[in-house]
Amino acid sequence: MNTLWHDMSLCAPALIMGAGALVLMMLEVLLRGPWPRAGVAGLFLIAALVSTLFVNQEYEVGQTILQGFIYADPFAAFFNLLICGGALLALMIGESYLQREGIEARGEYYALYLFSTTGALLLCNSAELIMLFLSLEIMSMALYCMCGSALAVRRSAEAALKYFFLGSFSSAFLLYGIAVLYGLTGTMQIGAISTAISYKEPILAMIGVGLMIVGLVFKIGAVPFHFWAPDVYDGAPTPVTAYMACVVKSAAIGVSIRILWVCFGALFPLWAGSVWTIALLTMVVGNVFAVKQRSVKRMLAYSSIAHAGYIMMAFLAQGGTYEGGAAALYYLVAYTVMTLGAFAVLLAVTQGPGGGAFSDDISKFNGLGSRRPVLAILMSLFLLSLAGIPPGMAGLLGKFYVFSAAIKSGYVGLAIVGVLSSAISCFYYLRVIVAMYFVEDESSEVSPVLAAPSAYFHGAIAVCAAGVVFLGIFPGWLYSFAAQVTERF
Amino acid sequence: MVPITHYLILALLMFSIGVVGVIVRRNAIVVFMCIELMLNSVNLTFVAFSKQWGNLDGQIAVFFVMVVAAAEAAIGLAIILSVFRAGQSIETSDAAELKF
Repeated sequence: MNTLWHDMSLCAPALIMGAGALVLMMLEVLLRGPWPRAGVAGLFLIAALVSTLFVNQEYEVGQTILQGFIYADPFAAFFNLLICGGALLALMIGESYLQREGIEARGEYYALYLFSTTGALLLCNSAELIMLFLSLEIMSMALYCMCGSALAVRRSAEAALKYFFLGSFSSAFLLYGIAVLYGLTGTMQIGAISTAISYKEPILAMIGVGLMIVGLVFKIGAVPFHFWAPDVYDGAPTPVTAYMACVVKSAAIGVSIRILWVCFGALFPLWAGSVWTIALLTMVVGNVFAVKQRSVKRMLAYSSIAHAGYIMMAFLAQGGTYEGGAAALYYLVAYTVMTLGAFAVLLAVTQGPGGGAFSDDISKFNGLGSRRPVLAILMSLFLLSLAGIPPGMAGLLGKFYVFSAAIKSGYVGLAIVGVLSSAISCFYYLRVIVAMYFVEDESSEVSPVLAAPSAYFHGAIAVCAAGVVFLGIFPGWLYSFAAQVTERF
Repeated sequence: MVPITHYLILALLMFSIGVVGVIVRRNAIVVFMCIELMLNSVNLTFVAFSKQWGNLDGQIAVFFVMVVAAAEAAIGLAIILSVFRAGQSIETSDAAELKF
């Protein structure tokens, strides 16, 4: 009984988050009239974040709890922090938008938001493949509904439909992979599989690993399983897009690192080739397709595909060193703050989905430098960081770590392609900056004065900007923390 | 006794039919049924391996997969309904407002 309580207390972040979702659903039934849904959801997120800080001290290397279903190790602790923090920031930047568009008024949105975050937390901590599948589904199913939450807007419903079909399609592949691995090893515990898996049955192992990689890569949104991402990111309400691009992507990358390095660590030569190809294609396709986008939202969708490619490059730099892991996690944190920041500015500048296909057009940024100088400066900081140009040092250092980890592991060609493709990315990021400072706002209609963003919004965008600056100036502590986390699983 | 390979080949066939159905068919409901077929073929695989290994992990997994499939049905039909309301069609080829 004591161990049960102890184990439950170590899962506190996920439990608080799940309880929060249930409380929000109950309050929705009990309370009449408007009530601060975002505030209550935010309080639960803060509680989960604080509990993470407390329980993290008890997370030890290789520790599993609840009969080996959940990992409580430093890697899990890192992702608990990243996911709770990212979800809190994403909530704060999206809150006023959701209120404006009437999505909040229907009430279920924030309950779904917390459910999805619970799934994301459990996904990174799961130590058992069925647990992994269930948490993936908890995360995804809430997200399908969130994508379609702008009910009156056809694009939103369409995005939900696409995401739902392709998401369940890929989950079925993941599940088939799990079944094959179970057939191969007789167990579904990640730790046990890692010791039992071998080259004895190369064909079955290849099928199992391949199917798992398909399922995971789909969730990351990497080429060739990316085709859903631009459409879904574009059609979903922008706060949902920001959440998907940061929190969901972080969770998917976290679980992929765990699966590839721990579960399939012994089979590195088997999957290295396919991950190499996927990383290469993702970087090139993401950056090339982003160039021709007029919609800034869609451009950010392709840019997030491209960034997934850079991070996947670090997956290959395993080879007994911690450099790949440290690089991937540093990049992930930097990517989260800069992308959330860019989405925050997008939310402040553009209209809701009701505005049609051109509501996120780049022309909305014309002359922003004189209309809203502070927002324009912040957007420039985030975009320069995404492009990896000084003074956006966080993104530059992230790229440097990832490329140098790849080069040290002997993937020089891949690193060269990475550098070239990030040169392409400068073009489309700088285009937005050019629009903000060097293109006059010619539209005769005065751009609608959007409801002044709330204090939450200002707080979140300030945190993102501070994060980008801080990570750029003092990268050492995060890098060494990330190195500790991935040094030993 | 039927050897395990028979079950596995049957499951593989069912899974392949599901995959082809998802790719080829245009009606949202049929696509959805094909995804359910894929999940159920995985269930068959789980049970077959569970029998072979003599442990219950695979059979328990089946219960979880069935629950997930049921939840997926609830959410999927709701989404299909909302698309139908927005556009009066459940052909996936009609849902083409979002393009590169």
